[in-house]
Amino acid sequence: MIEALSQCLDALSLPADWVGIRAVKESINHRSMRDQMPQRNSRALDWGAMVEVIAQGQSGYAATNVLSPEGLRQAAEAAYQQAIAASHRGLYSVSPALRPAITGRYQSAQQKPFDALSPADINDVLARICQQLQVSDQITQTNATAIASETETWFVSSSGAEIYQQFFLVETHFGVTAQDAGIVQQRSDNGSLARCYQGGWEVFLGADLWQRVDRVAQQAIELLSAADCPDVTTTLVLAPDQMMLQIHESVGHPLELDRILGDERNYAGGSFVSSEDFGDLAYGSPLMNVTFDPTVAGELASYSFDDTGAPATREYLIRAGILERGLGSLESQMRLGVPGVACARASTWNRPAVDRMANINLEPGDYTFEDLIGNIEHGVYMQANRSWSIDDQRYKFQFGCEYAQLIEQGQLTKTLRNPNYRATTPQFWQSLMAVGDRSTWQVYGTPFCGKGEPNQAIRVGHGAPVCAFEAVEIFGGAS
Amino acid sequence: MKVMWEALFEQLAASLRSQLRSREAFTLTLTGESSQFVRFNQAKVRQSGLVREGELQLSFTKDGRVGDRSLPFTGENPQI
Repeated sequence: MIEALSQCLDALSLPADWVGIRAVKESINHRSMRDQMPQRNSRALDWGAMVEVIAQGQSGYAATNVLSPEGLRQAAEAAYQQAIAASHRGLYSVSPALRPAITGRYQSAQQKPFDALSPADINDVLARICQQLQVSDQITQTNATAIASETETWFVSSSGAEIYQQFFLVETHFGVTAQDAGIVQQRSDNGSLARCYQGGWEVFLGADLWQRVDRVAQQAIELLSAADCPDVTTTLVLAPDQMMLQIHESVGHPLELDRILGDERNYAGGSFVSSEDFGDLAYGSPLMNVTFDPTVAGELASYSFDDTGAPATREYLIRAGILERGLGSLESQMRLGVPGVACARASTWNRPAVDRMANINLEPGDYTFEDLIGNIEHGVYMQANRSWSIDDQRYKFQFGCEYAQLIEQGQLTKTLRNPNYRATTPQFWQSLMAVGDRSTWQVYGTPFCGKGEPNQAIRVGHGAPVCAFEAVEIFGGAS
Repeated sequence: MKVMWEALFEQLAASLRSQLRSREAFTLTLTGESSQFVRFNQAKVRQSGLVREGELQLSFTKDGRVGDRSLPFTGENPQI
């Protein structure tokens, strides 16, 4: 494919300063069950190419799924016309220097390839999960989903970039709804579709799968008779499956440089962070270390190059609580004058790249789980995201979880249902008082990070340890 | 483009219909797009682009079981 695309580039006779072609082919197998009955058995194949042209200081795009030389030539001509038409109204001057001439490859590690299991095998596992979740008549619904995807991208440019990346992705979910009289509770496998990884079927069919199934069902039943989470200001401990959402909404999104630049203000929103904050703002307590890390094996958004060809490296966004770097492409870094990362990403071939999260992780600290809980006199430990609400500047938020436990005198005591908490982003991260060690660090992800117009849903990963925050406003669902 | 796409779509639908056996059914859907997107910030152009694409969605039913498949539709055969 690289050779064919390069030949198409060579055959172009456009008076452009730079031309790039990014071709994407994605194959998705989606299977889901509800109450042991198949709900979805689908296979989707999608391919196409985005041609970007830089001319007269402006870029223009044209996407097509006609991958013949003539189809790509027509797309390049259309992209060139887009650039010329907008060149006297451009927001900033685009230089070919913003498109690195890099060559390289990336491939997800995979132990158990997708063809190792037939559709019947996968359906059988999903049906068994539903069956095993049905532990009581109080379980009113069970569901299980497995999505396996292979994505290939080829990127060539007139300046010499040649990049091939191949991703194997597994996204899974199971959960239950339980009911007793007027009480309805849901419990799932770390939150909605949170177990998203690069790899093969080994990441789904792990040694602990059936233990997790049992735990989800038992905890759903447990929640039916649990006390409602109290309204109290106390120590909040978050499990990694809720830290995922916390990092995503209150660190990832506000650090996107295009939000700070105003590009996304009318849809995704802006940010409470300004360009002057980089290098200076105490974003959180000194225990807060956040990285952009595309190098973590198996994490959902690992890659070697972003969608403009920029090489991706691990970088600290926040170190010892101080904001160092934003989530911004080479363009955004140039426009805003702050350091960024290789995060120009497009959801697929028919969208231009914009500033996105990838893997945004909170680095581990020193506490074992037992020591972290053991040092807390009173608090609430919450797991798995259930709901979220945050303003368009990513400042004030309110999040809810599936399952909680009261912490009393250093011990986890009774189960609590309908746990929620609220805070403002700086106040919350300044209250970070203890960070779990590597033994508590877990990785999750989501395929549903939304942004851009037309909308782009993109895959992101978040790894985090268990963390404790002091004096957080916690509340239940009864009030 | 629209006439050519619809003609090819009709051919595909007819071909599938002719291959149906007892207790089998299908729906075939063609979705196409030819769009212009211009994104502005501060009354200036941030991004400007075109999208041209098509997709076929086939839903096949037999004995109460359903399988779905989608694939690109270009109106021509892919060359590479």
